[in-house]
Amino acid sequence: MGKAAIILVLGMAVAMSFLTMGAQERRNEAVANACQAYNINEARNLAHSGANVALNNITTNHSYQGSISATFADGSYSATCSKMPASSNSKIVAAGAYGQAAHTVQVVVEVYPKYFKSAITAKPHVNTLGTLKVDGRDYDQNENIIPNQGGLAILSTQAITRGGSSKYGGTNSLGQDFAPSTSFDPSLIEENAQFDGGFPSSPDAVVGVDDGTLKAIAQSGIGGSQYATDPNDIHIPLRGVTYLELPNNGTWNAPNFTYCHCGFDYNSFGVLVVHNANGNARLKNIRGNFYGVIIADDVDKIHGKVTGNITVIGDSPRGNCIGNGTGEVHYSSYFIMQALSGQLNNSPKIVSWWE
Amino acid sequence: MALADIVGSAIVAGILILMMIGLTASVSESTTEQMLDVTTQQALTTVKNMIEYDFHKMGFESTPGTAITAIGAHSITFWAGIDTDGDGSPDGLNTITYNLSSTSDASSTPNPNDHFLYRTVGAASPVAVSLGVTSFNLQYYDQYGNLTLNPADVKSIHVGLTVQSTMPYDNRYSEAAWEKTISPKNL
Repeated sequence: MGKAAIILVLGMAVAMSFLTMGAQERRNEAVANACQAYNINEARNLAHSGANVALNNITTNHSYQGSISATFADGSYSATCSKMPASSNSKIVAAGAYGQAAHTVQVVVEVYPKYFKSAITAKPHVNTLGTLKVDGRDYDQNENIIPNQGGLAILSTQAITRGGSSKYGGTNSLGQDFAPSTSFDPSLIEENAQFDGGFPSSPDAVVGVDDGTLKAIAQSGIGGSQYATDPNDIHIPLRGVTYLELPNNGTWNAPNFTYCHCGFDYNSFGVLVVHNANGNARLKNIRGNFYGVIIADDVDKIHGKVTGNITVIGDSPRGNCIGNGTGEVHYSSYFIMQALSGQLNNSPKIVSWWE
Repeated sequence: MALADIVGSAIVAGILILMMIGLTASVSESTTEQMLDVTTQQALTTVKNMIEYDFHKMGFESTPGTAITAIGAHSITFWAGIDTDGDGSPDGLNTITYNLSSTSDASSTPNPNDHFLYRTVGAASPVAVSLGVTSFNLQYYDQYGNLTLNPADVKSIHVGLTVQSTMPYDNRYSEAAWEKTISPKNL
């Protein structure tokens, strides 16, 4: 009887153990399930935090590129920001990790308007002659080339014709840099380019501000901005927003954009607009150095050096070419962003968010 | 040993055995219910993860106002950039449709209340999620937080999801529910 009692008690204990273990296992699964859902949520929040910190960095500094990371008690985030080649966009890749869960976010940010992804952007056809050099590689503030993140040489909604000894260089969409050459890589130009909503018909639309904004800033005179209807009223060097509104079929035979005084050279900076309501104002014979953005209905003969971007918005160029001398057009995201900051308050826009 | 001892021991042993049988039945029932609850909860988590994965991609690289093409109380069709090759990057745009079947579609399960939740990507055949979904309710809000029936105005979506076990235990179905308002960044 004693043995039977012991067997009975031990049997009960074993059976209870199995039952308890089974119940505990179910409880563990329930807890693990809840933990997993919590971890996924936290990993997503951390990835969003990383993306938002990177976005903040871009907003503060439009040229921002680099990596950030932060580690917390149970999780971490990291984010990298890089400029997308042949584009006006930057890309943020942010990753969050919490426990066993991970989450990734990819954000594409339009740092400045999409029309500025090449050295020359044009609605009409573009002809180049002479020894004009158009380089879409990205030039920094010291005019050194930042590798693999520049833009195209020329982008046009119509044809592009290279003639004479003119040279094209730039960065293609794969991030490959090419020095200017007469036998340029075809990936450095884009003909018959299409834009959602069509090519902008006004300088304001190019920059992405409300109609009349550029003119109003120019008329305010802020930061050295100038507005004139007579080219003789424009003073060199240019600063801020310079808006020249010419009469129908008017031409500005431009002075040297580099002002020499007492042995010092003062180059021109900012946004230069040459435009009229007929869309046929011509900027002719660019000389000297200009850093920033030039928007004109018609650009005829670049003989100087423009670092930033030239955008042509008119339909029919009156000259036979955009340049036939020794001019140079260098793409520079730095000088584009410098020109568009300040009064224009150009802030980055999120193009897409993928997670 | 006296007869009284033997009878007493037998009674005590009988009581112990009855207690053991009762306890075993009780724990077994509890374990089964727990297992059903966990299974239901896991099914809910699976469906919830799938919905969140897709809904957060809604409107990727789409023209504003065109991301959602059709909405209903139990269905939605939208454009999204999904990762079809598993490399962690979007592979173009696809339409994704979620819609809830009638209960008769899921008549193969003992639960009379469950439906199939169909997920259709592009032109592919609908994939039926047969995890005991008993309700899939959608409400749409515009940028001001007001209910809207216009797909172009939708900025956030309230998702209500209820899952029951497909098998009953003791004529009772285990149930788990999830609700969330999702505001896709691209809308």
